[in-house]
Amino acid sequence: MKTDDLIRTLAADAAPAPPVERLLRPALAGALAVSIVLFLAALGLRPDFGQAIETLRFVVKPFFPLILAVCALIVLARLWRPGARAPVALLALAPLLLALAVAFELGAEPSARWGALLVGENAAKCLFFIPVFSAAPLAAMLYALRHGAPTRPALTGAVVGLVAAGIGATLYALHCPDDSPLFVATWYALATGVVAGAGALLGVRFLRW
Amino acid sequence: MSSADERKWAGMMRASLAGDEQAYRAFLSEVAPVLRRLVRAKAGGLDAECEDILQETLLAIHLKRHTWREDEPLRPWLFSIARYKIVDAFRSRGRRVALDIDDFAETLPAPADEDATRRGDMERVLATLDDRSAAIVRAIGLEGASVAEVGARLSMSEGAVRVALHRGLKKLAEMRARMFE
Repeated sequence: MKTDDLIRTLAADAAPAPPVERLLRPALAGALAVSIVLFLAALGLRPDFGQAIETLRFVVKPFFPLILAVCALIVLARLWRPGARAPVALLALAPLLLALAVAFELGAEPSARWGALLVGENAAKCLFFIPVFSAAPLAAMLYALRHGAPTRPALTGAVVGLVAAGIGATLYALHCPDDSPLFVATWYALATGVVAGAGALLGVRFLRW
Repeated sequence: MSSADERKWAGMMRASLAGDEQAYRAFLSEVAPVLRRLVRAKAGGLDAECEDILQETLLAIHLKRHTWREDEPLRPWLFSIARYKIVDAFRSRGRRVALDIDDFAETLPAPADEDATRRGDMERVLATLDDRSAAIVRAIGLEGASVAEVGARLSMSEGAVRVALHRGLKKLAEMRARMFE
């Protein structure tokens, strides 16, 4: 087929596809609902939620992953459009805030306690459930992003992973018995890293076009 | 690309995204020779494949044109898509190339236009499509039939023809990519 013929054919396919946002919003909303249902069914809010909510540590805890999710989503919105500059540095905000919190914790707690605070009561549960609650958002976003044109599939997949992990971790934080920033900086971060890594691998596989 | 060119193309793209077939066809016809030059400049020995790579790039621009935000400059978007696809196309053919926005600076078309008449690999890929999609693409592309005429010929509504055409083009891009895996 000659190039002019191809152009003629392309021109006949006149109506452009809807923007990625149009697919992403319902996909993300649906996935969020799935994760919330999973959370309530499997874990539910922390039993002592009423008292916990009076402690600063507990109230602040979900904001770290939430801020991460929001920042990652902002970066993601630039990544699925070719030619747009993605403010990747924004991803450092949540870790920075967490580092600040860790600094405060180390200052506030005697060093004898640091080890116990870091190890926490249930790291395994954290490492298991955060990916579980991240799964639906991860899948939904990757599906919607295939509609876009991400020119860096691995990075885009990783950032999708960060959004998903942010959502999963925010949910888990509402149940999690360990409030220390030391715990969050270790185990939540590890779980986030795993989900982001999975996102990168899946991005390479599914986001090419 | 001069800013006047960029503005002109951006205007054409805006019209195209609003459904203006003529503007879109004009846009693609102007972009193609520029991209051809870009591809040829990197070809080094793969001259025979240049037209195929150009066609793959045009198809990609077409299928992803909804990712351009009308309030943003056209050049970075166009270059970014072209670079992604051209680098990928060369890579599938065993050649690593690098493209730079400066390569894209000139809008002078390729010197000789005999390549525009080259048939290209798309025929081979067309053969992998289902009969109806292939028939639609051939009727519109090779015979110059309108969507309405194709609809009449195949007893389909115009809307159905458009949907089938769009799906066919997406399939074309997919099959093309798979041919090199």
